[in-house]
Amino acid sequence: MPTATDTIEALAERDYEYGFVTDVEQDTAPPGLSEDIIAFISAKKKEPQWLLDWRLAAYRGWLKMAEPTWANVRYEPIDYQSICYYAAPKSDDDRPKSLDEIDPEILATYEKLGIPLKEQEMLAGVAVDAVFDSVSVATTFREKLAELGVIFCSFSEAVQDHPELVRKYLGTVVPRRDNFFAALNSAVFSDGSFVYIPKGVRCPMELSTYFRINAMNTGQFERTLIIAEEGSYVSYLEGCTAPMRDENQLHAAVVELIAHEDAQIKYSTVQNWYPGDKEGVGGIYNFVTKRGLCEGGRSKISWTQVETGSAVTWKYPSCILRGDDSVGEFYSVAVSNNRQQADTGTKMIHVGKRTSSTIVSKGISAGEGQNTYRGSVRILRSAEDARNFSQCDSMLIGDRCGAHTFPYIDVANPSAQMEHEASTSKIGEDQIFYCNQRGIDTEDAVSMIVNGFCKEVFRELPMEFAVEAQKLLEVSLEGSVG
Amino acid sequence: MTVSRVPSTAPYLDLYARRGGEPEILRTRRQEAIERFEAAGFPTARDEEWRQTNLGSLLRATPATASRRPLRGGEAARFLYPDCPRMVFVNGRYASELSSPPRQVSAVALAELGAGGDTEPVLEHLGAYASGRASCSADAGVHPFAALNTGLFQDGAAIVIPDGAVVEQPFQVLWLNAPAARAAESGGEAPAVEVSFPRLLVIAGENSQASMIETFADVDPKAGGYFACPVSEFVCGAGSVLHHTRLQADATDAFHVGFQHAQLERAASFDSSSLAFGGGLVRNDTVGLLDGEGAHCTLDGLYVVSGSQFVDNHMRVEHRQPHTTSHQLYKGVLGGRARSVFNGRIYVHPAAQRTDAKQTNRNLLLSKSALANSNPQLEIFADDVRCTHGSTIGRLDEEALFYLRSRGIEREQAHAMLVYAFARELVEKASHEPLRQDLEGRLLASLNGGDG
Repeated sequence: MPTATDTIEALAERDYEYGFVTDVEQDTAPPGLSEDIIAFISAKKKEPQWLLDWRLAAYRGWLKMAEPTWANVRYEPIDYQSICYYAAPKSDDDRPKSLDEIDPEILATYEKLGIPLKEQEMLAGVAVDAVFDSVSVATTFREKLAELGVIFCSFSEAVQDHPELVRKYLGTVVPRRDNFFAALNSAVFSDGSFVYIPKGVRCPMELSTYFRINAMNTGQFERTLIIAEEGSYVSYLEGCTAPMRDENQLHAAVVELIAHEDAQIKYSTVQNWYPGDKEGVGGIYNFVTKRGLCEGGRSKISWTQVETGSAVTWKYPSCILRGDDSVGEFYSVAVSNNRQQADTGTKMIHVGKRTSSTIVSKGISAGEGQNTYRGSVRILRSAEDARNFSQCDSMLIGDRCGAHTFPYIDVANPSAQMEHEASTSKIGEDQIFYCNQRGIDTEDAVSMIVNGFCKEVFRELPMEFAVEAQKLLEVSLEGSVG
Repeated sequence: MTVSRVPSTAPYLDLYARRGGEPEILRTRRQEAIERFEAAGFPTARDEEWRQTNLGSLLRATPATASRRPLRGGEAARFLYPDCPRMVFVNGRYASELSSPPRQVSAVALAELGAGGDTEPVLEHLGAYASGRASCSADAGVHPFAALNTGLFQDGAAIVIPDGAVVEQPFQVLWLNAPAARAAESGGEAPAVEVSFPRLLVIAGENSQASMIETFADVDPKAGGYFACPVSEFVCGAGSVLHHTRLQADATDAFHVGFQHAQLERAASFDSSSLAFGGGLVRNDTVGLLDGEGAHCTLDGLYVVSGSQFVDNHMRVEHRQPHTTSHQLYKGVLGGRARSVFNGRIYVHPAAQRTDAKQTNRNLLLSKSALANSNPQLEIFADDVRCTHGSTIGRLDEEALFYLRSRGIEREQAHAMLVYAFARELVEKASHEPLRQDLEGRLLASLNGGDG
């Protein structure tokens, strides 16, 4: 039986399986950030004046803001002037009409990632809006969705084709000066996804976007906006992998969700960006602002995330429960291995009557990873009979890692019922022994126990993701315990 | 967002300049402490540790050193337990005529330090933990009020329990506040507060056993408007057992910003209950530092507040050595427009394998305008540990109320019964009978004192 140290070393020596760089010519803006660059991005994307003004206002706000330091993460300071804020594949000028016209190298990239677009078109009923660097390369199934009135397109297309919707909703959930990274994103966002589900429509398939950071030194700043009209339903999948590289890359996305009366949005993420090598060199900085607004009564927003990648993660998917009887959910598995640092959690802000929220967070730390849960539950005075249940469990594997929990609970209405539980533990030797006794080797036993630990979250994932997530977790933690 | 003005430390530095002097052997220590205080300054809402504590009304008031005041006979009596040896302090100064110090232990007033007796252990530990001289871990920082106390305390109690001593009878330290005049009557300009700096050091010798009661109270509940800034340090030697009950029954318009530190050596056990009924603005920082294998500490608390009272408990338990255990149970009952903050942090150092830490905070909101904040936090750097925390905020169970009412119990009485049942476990912990009766009485009185 290998010892814990041996197996941790073996794990640490694993190369990042998805590390490779595709050679595609890029139309890149010079590094640096200024009003000119923002005008360049905006012009490149043929944006209307109001959007340029909006970007510039965000930029001017950003200049006055200081980078937040309260998160429980340590990283080298970022030089915002050395980042390229725009990169688009050359083929942007004449957008391909079908997959056949797409740069075969890009298609090959997806093949390596195991996302064969062509197959996916036929399989599983998943429409894929693949964002390759900053501009959408292919969007499938769009016609089928259009029949139902569902709009699923890249953000820049939405700006051209549905400016009234974009203008109405952009920045309503995450204001352009919400925080340092959201303001940066608002100023320079390149592309992203736009989803609009009309009244009473139940989106017939899982909408999915695979993001992939590719060009060297290009920060990626997606902007996602999902609007679910009265009585509609949508499930959205987001998944990420990134090629191996040495320089830290900044990723500051903004996701806004708006659920009107009786609408439901389910947003699932599997994040597996390059976490850096075993010394913590390289790897993605993932500073994301995700927020959903339950605008109407009986609306529901559910966030599910599996975070296994990135060198530094700073991410708090939140719900503002404004409508009466609205529901917010947050299910998370965060794994930090080697030198990874994750500071993640959620905010649930109860405004409406009888609103309820559920938080289930599972943190796993291994190697020298530091995993922090930071969450806030606020029950305002107007939120009669609000209900919250939070559970934050941490698992430690190895003796050099850390697990931290920082929940903030503010209750201003006595009718609220609020429960918070947290525990920290390691995999018990008796548990392993029990499995060994029954002929299950240690590796499998650990995998089994970890999967059991995360089961409550995996259960919430759509089928396609649940399988990928379990596999990811096995890869991330293989051999961590001897 | 309002711009928070940095409160000036000048009035307090002025108090230091005008202080009445101190035993020679404490001079350097004081000077160092006041320098640390000056460097740190008063905290603002921008400090994470003080984010939810609004010190504005305290720091706007002009501080004045509480004056010496003789008490009329019987004024202190209602806070004393007849059979307990005691040390009584009025406005932070030792009142020997009211005191009967315990005989089995060495109890000296700090103002007389150096005048005789064995000062060495006192000097070794006084201010070592509370004012940043040997703060527990780097990120804990300097507690400005603890440093302020070290620089300004007028008097205090140093209690040394000899090695192996078993003290049967609990001893009491009573901190009485008797402000000269009501702050509001002092005139139209900036309100003045009388400040007292109670200071306690308890050194429990190896394998000793003792229990003690600390009481904070005011002579005349109508006088009010004072600021008590106490610091208590507990040094628990190897194998010692120390029980501590802290009753805080200040006037409801008083300021109370306290700091407690317990240092535990190998296999020591420290069990503390903190019961807060009074005070308008109350802030308590409690640190438990488990610095020896097999040490155990219990830090429990109850706060029963109403009106516009604000009570903030900041806990920090550090597990430094393996096989250490800690338990925290804090319960709150909030009525009126009262607000509470519970901020509990368990910090497990990499060496502290086999730590078992538990932290629970339960809040009962009795009125629509009460607000409870609860921030239980875990920071864990060792893997073989068991750490849990739990927090709940809610109101009385309607079904339980209905059950009682269906048996002919009036609504108000049923209400009081349920609240009492919620809080009683912390009151019943007191093993000393007169103390328990006193606490019970206070709990019941505060429940009848008007909630919704």
